[in-house]
Amino acid sequence: MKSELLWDAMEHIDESRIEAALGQPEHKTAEGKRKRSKRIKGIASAAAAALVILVGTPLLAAESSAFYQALYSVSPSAAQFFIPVKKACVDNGIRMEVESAGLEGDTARIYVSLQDLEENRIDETTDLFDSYAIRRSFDSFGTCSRVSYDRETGKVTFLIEITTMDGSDIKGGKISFSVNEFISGKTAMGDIPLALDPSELAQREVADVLASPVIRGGSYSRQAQQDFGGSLEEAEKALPTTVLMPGESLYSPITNLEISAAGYKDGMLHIQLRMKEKLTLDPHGFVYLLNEKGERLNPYYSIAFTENPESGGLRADYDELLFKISRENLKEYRLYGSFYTAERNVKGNWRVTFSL
Amino acid sequence: MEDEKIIELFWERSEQAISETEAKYGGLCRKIAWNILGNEEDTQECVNDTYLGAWNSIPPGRPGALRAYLCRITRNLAVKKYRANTAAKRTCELTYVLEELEDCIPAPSFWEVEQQIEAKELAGYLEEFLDTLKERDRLIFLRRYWFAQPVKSIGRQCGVTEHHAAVILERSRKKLKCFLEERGVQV
Repeated sequence: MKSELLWDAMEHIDESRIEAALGQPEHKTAEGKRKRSKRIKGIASAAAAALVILVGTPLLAAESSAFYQALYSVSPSAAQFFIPVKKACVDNGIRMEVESAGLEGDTARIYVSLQDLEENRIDETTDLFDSYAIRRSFDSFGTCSRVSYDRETGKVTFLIEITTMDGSDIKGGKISFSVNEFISGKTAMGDIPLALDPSELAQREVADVLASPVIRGGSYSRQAQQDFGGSLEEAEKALPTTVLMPGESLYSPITNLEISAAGYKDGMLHIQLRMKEKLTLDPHGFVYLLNEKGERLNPYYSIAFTENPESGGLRADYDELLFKISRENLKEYRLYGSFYTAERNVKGNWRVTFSL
Repeated sequence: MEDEKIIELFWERSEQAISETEAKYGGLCRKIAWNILGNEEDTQECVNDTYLGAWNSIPPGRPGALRAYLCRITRNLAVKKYRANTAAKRTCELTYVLEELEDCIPAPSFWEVEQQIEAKELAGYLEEFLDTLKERDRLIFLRRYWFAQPVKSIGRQCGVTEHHAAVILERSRKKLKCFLEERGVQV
């Protein structure tokens, strides 16, 4: 069959396209264009979210009936949609509470809050750091996103949305929501110039390389893939994974992240980022080149690695960014970057089970 | 758990890698397998084989995007399973997907095509073709012909009606046919 040839060809489509298709926020793209019967979900969510943001989470925290009444005043239909749940657990001085839940058709929406009862470890940047799990008795997709932070109570609220896979209505059932850790105090330095002189880098030939890095992944620009017949696999096979020997910090744009080596090796400009506490505080960053005409050059490819664990000491993670640019052309560019990290990581065992 | 951590678990040969993969991407893999196979037993087997495939390929593999990596394994396994099944069972979503694609290539015969163009080469043309589509149309095309997702479900997730999604797909298929003809893809 001809169609099978096409189907097989689809298999070789660039991974980035698959990621892009997967990355679409389904619940967001779907909302707003559904039929009237579906609109109530959006209204209910919006009304509740607006209530959380404008009226404040104390309503949610102190008394669910108060939340319900206030919600009713904003939107009676939304109030009918959400039901107070008020189930909570406390661990490590942090209280997690399922505030309310709404169920309609194939989607359930649940508001969950976190509040620090002992310190000030929760703020507007609180991130569940992919540590949450939603367990339910029916086959479905679940997402969790932060919707508000109340400065006075120090309470952050998340919205969990669950949609059945086959589009069938949710008939109810038990939901278990758990969180194992979160990070907060996140800071970002976006598009800042780096205190590294390209002219000086152009002169720097680096000979020392790390003998046995533990390669943990990498990314390849579209250009790199095109240069190898449009194949990510071919690019991975062909491009060397030689990384520079990490050294003293050349420049640290943000806490827990520094440039640990830079220079030319085998005709490519290497910029090596070293991150400490990567698995707990999520420091990460990206470097690019920009010239006076505003032309931007991103890395041709990058290599993520750690130093051999046998070497002892604290683990450090590295991203080595490789630029395809001649030494002569480099002088026309400046280095820029965006960097992110968090201040704290709080661990615990928070789990609430409730019925829809 | 972050993908990087999961990959690290695979590299450490920790069985927790499987449970974390199941927790994070099990639903997605199941959905892809279900779209292609259309029955629970085969779907479950395919998803389990996906975990095994990941276990056997990481290391030495180091996927840059774990999610797409797993989806690709699932899709491969599901298609193999689909082809191994008897014709009597071929009534799932993929059957309809293949029927739709059949007219996209104006070929005198399949065997001549196979001699002239290979799947990988055709993929290059598909990449070019996808770039000509509007973002929404491209997303709908991929959801249908990469993930074998039902049109109704695509419509719901992309904010259009089922009918509208079907129309977009039909237009895209016609465009693809013209696109391939213009490039002399003699099929």
